[in-house]
Amino acid sequence: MRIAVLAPLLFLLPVLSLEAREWQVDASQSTLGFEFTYEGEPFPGTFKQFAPQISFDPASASGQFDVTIDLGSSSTDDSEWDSYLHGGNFFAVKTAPIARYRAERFEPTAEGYVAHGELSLRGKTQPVDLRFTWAGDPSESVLEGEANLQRLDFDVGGGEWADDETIGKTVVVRTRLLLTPK
Amino acid sequence: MSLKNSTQDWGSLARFLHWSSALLIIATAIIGLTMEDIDVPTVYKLHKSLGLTVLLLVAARLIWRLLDRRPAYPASMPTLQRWVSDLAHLALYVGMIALPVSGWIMNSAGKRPLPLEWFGLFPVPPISGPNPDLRHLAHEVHEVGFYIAAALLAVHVLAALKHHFVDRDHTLAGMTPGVSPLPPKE
Repeated sequence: MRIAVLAPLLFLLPVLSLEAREWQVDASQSTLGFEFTYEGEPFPGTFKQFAPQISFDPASASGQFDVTIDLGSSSTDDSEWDSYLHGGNFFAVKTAPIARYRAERFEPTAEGYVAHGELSLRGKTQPVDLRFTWAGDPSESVLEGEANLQRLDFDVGGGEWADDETIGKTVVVRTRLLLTPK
Repeated sequence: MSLKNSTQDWGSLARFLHWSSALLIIATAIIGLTMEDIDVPTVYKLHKSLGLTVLLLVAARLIWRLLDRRPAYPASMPTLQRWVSDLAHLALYVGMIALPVSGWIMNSAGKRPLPLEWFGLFPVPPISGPNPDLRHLAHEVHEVGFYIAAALLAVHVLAALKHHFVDRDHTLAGMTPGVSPLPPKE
């Protein structure tokens, strides 16, 4: 009798398992950084404010990433360089203060996963692949990811910086998120 | 007024150098204190161009000081006060050199130097290679030096006003266009 009542619910189980789990990001333990090159040497910076909404199921490699990034919080620990970053030639914080990365398509790889997403920055939207690993257990997981961007695809570093003589064209974005289930 | 100084008055060249430095120093200081909040590259560039101009003016003043005589201190001024005044003026000169030079080093010794230009007109060469320790030292000198120099400047202004309004001597009038000494107190 009892089984007969529960039986229809069993059909729901596969559906539930396909629905990726939603994760809460521990902001104090999570980072989002970027690395330019200056005359070939690494030139690192961070975004102090960013808000990731992450749902992901590592077993089925399915989920959804939606990350908003406060460009005005970008910092290189050099206030003068930051004024360039925030200014019109780079992030143009006054006209478009927020960047957004969204991904819904995921693929397992030999090292982990890749998210085929899109980044909107400075009014331009371009496909950006985020390679990431997912470690931990259902109670606490760590996402570590890396993406390579071509800054000129987003018109970042125009004007006197447009050639790659001083600042390289490729920018590496790195993130580490500490996640607990919602 | 003659270009050169007299025994009592500063000449027009000394006055021009003094008051133009004063104006530029105050502008440079205000911009320096606010440019991190304003967060615009042009404002940093302006601070640097103004600071370099102050350095140029100081060089001109030192040369002129060697070439021309200095007006005498008022006869009524006590010996100790003259020593203190000499020392304070020496310290002001040290500040007017140390602040722009330390700023120039900060711009030169950074790991990722930004191009330095005088009002966008011509490039100004770095005065050191990249050197994090030197940059750190220059930063300290620039910051601590600023507060010491600002205190000295306040003393300089207050002393000039004291000479004018309390001692009623020729000190302020000797440097300031349109100002005459006040009549002696009854």
